[in-house]
Amino acid sequence: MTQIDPTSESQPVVTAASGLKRNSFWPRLWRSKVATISAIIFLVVVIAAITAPWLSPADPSAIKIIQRLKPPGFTNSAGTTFWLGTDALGRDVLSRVIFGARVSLIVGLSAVVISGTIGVLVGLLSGFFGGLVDDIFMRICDIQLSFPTILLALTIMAVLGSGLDKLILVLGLTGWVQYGRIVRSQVLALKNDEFVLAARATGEQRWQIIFQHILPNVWSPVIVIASFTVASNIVAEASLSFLGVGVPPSVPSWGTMLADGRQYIGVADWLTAPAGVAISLTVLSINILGDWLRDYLDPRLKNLL
Amino acid sequence: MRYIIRRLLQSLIVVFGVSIVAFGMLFMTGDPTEVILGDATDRMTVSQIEEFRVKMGFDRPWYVQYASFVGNAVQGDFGYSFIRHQPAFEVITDKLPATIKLASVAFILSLVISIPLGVMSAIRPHRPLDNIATVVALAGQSIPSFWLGILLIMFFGVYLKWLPISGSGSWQHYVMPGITLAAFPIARNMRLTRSSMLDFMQKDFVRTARAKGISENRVVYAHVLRNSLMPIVTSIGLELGFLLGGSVITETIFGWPGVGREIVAAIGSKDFYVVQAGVIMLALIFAGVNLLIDLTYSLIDPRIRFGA
Amino acid sequence: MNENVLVRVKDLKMHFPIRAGILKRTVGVVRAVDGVSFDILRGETLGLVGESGCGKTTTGRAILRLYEPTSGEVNFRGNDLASESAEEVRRTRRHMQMIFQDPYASLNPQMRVGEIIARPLRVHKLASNAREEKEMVADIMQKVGLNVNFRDRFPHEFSGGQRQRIGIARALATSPDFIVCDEPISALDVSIQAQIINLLEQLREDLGLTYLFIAHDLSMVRYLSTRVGVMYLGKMMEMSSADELYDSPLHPYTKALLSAIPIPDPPLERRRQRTLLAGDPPSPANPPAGCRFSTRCPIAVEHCRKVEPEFRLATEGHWVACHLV
Repeated sequence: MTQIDPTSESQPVVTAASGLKRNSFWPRLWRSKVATISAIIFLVVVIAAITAPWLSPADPSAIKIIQRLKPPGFTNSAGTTFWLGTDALGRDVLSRVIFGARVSLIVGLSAVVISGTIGVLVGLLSGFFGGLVDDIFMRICDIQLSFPTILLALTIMAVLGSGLDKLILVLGLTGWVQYGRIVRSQVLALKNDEFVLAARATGEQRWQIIFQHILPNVWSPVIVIASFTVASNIVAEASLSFLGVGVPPSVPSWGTMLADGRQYIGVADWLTAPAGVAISLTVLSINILGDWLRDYLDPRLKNLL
Repeated sequence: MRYIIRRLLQSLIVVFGVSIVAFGMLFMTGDPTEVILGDATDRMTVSQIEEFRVKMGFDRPWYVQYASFVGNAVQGDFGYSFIRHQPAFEVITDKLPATIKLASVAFILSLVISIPLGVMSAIRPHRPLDNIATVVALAGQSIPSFWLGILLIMFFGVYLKWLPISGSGSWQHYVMPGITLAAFPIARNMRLTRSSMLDFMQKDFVRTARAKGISENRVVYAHVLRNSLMPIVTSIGLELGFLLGGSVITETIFGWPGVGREIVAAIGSKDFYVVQAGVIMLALIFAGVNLLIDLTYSLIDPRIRFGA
Repeated sequence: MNENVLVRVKDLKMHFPIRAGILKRTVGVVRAVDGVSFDILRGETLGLVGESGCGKTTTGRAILRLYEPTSGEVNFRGNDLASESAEEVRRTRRHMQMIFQDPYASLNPQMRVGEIIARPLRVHKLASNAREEKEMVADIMQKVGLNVNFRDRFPHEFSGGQRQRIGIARALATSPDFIVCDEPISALDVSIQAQIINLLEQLREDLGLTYLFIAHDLSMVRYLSTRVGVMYLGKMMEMSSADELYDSPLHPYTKALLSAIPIPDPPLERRRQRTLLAGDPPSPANPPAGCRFSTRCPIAVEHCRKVEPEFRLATEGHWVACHLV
């Protein structure tokens, strides 16, 4: 708490910890070596995803059976070098890894936007109004949590059939409960705070109290969960694609690449490595950033997340 | 008592929800007939499809269908698998023991590996051993299980030929699937143990114990460790869900004859009743074990019984 | 109604249900406020005192209809608030404001000071454009003694006394007639308390405000208030002009409270006779029969435990609820 010093009554008391907070994002990130490296890795993945068409040396879908299963460094008669080799259909593995970043990030981020929006909205309303809305929400949570998420997504995808849009929708719709629960618990704690009562006394309307007074106070855990779920969505996309129900086989995804590569263990061992390394590094860097973000935004969240 | 009633009621609602979701899957595309028949519709005439629709009762209103679905399910009738030529329920129950065995092995692995590592890390934080363990744990949380499985197969199965790469039978068959399935929980539990040990070491009662002259070993094991294991104990339910969900991938990679692989195979062959039965069984097992865990807690910890 | 009456509270009751069990049945009620009546005159400061849990804060909040009163009437500027719709009350809030006890909890930690003070202006559409709003905020900040350059800072960057000034500025923003001050100084250091009290007093004079000043400490209330009411377990025990209440209190509870104030004069302080109250106040969920104070009253007789005393006029302008005076 801020100390009250009678002699400096007209000067704001800026405590070291709180004063640092708002302008210290980059310096603090920079000071953590691991977090900096993770941020750079993540940035590389993002850039690769955005610039994939220009960055990749070949068309990721160009099939050439003649040059199938060639090892890394192979140069064909036309003089094109395949730095990471070619797959069973003769496609350039490097280009497919680069384009795979696109699928991973699109699915990871879009699903987070969907689940985050639903979860935050439901959590706010359920926590603020309580009563029947809250009861229904809690029961839906119980039901959804009784399905292992991946199993639920798997079966829905199995019925709907594979597709990038469906995958995003399914991961988004199955992932909102986490946000809802944490936001609800935060709102329950906040709504009895005097500043909410003060907002009512001012004459603010309910929607203003919910969205303009309470919402800004629940961003920290939401951002932290979002960063972790980007990672888990990327893994989920790869897992489902690996099992053949995620994105269609023609779309270059890290999951489908691993599934393809698995067929050729002992014949072309290098096939699984690029996608495996790419997904592991991406997920690892996001997880580290998420950890760092949690400690930066609010160390107390450690007990919740 | 009141808590137990409330918890049982909650489980009932969950079971109801599971049945709705599982039943609803058939209707997700709009036409259950299409889901069940799959590609076979291409070879059938319109009247044949209609005949099938009536035979399966898909022409009735959805609530009648739901009632008969629940009625049949309670009697263990989840439809017939035309591919296995066996009731779907039997297909799943035949595979259930293998899945439970593998999940149990992974569960035990996740505890006996993670807790000692977490303790070692916490006793000497920020030393080389801790740093290595932390990096390994972070990596373990980030490597997707299917790639880890592939790496293990390549290394121990193909190059070294130490372990069988698929199937089940001997204890060696458990090693790679067990580790693959347990990798994520091991990493998570290790980090949980470490951070909660570090938290507790700062607490006053631990400082008091030290001040009283109790040996460091006793402080760590009798005072800190016992309290630090609580977060792990309370997350057992969640971990179980992870193990059941993860079995789908692990069993597929290692050809493990369990429910997970059966579900994936059934999806491939459009054997929908088997998928449905498998999902319901796994969800019910999960809900049941969670109920058991919660009731056990409430017996141990009176705070849960009386609100809080 | 008398022209001079700004707020009239009539038989106000605020009961909170106690719920339990799976079905959330009501198993009892907390009678936080159990039938109080009083007027607040235009331009006066009515002090409301009592121990914590006596219902004084609840009374203040129920008057502003931050709680839905169980029954009773709250008349503000001639309109019965209890019968107004939520939307009408919301618009009326422009004219009645509140200053809160805890200057840490009552300011939104994610809002800049300028924003906190500007919100009431925006909600009630009192500024026609951004520039005017900015000027109005600066004007209010100046009035309460805040440096205008600090408008872009966050509440956590301020000390307790300054935070309370921000709270006061927020309450003043809409130029209200009536402000409920809910223990606005009890969370502050003693040295700061006087500054805030002086500020409130000066603002009242300059702006012609009317206060309901809630406190658990009789000494500060005397300095500020025109009249003082004493509450105990959801009921008004005594009410009169401030001087009369302090010089010749009638109710044994008031006497006990007054005897607890230290006198800043050693010889007098040594001779001060303290009436010690035995035990804690009973639970408002289960108040005693008869006079509520009878369980702790030093002079209670059998009659007091059976019949509840009426709140009656004892002498000119001096109300009391006691059988024995």
